[in-house]
Amino acid sequence: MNCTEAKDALSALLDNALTSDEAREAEAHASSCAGCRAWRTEMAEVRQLLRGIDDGDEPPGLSAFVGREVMAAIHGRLLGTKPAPSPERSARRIAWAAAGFSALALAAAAGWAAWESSRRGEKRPDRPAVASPSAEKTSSSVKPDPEPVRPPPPEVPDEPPRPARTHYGHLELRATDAGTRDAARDLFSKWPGTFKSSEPSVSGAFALTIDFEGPASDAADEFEKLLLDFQRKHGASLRSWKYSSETR
Amino acid sequence: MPELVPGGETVPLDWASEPDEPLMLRVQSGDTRALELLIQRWSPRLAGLFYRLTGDPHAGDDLLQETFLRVWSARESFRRDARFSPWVHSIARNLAADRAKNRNRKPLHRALNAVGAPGSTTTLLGKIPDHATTPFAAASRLELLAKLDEALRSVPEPYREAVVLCDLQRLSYDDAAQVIGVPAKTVSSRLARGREHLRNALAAFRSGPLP
Repeated sequence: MNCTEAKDALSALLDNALTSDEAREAEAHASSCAGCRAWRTEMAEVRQLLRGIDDGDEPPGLSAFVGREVMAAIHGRLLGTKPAPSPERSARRIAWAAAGFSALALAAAAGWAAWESSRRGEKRPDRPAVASPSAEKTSSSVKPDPEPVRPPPPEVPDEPPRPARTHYGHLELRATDAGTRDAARDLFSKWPGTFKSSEPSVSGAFALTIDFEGPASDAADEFEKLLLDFQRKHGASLRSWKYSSETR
Repeated sequence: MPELVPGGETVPLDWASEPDEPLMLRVQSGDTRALELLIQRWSPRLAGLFYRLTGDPHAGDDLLQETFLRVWSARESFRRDARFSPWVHSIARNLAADRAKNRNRKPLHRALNAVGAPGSTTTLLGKIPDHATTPFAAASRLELLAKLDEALRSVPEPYREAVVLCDLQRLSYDDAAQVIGVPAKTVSSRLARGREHLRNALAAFRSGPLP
């Protein structure tokens, strides 16, 4: 084993990536080569320095909610959650949170809902122009143009009646105490649907599941308000939750 | 009530503790909630990878999107006996390489003036746990860390890639080999060279042992 081979091996030895035979050979070389011994010491220092960096931390330039933003973008691109051009197209939203992330995830879910709402808000009809060219050229010496005669609006054929749309929701959450579970039941019982709760698990958590449905017009927004209200009051007692809904 | 499409399958509430591979198998069967959890779990780490490989602190957002879009579109190719970490790292690494190639510049160079100022707490090396007990020691540490940040950028790309994957992303030699597409021995050799380049880049700065 020459010094070049020994350096590769000694570097790998730091990572326990050698077989026992390879390790023995590398050690044997180092014991007889002062240069490679010093090299190994320095490599160990460099490695220790690098391994002290936690690459799982948030790197610079990454916003705190990048995960949510990526999810939002992917939902938009994969699942078609952009504002629908046709009122018949169903909207779908999913908010979720995982154990250990309750506060952050609840905030993320709120952000998700806000993002969805803002996206829906972007799809508004174009506003009429503030000023027309004829209005701009009006002055005291010039008679204002007479009120233009507007043509009658084109006749719009009556749309066929659409079937009523309904909002369906499914909420699962796990609370650390029965009081939070009961509070959730009281709050969400305003919605027609089924409610299931469990006895405390081994870990002492109370799980509950709510399936509900309501009129499509405002149901999604109103239910999100309930969720946010519940988050404000009981976020610290929630271990996890998952909410999915669909309007059809 | 009609069966719910998005929430049709009841998922255990403690599914967040599931390893990546079962979640990926859920993704394979079309479960977007499992995809969301993987995104949440992996975004910080992959954003770190993009930063190290491209040098662009803002590359993370759109590259992360592209990565998980590919995870979704290529979900059928994920083998049942495969591990998620090298698989997603391969996707991310290829995207970072494409980005660097399309911009016709060497990765990491653009970030030299963007981040990494001595004393900045947002540099890569600012993430090293601070055990300094005095202001002088803390200042020295920050200066050293910023220097190491620069040194890492000066390492030639194949070697730096091995350092990033093995020392920063903590992949094994075999996993890094799978990601890069070279034998594990090559990864081992590149990693040794990368560490040596780092040592040389730091040599002018060092006046004592590294912390």
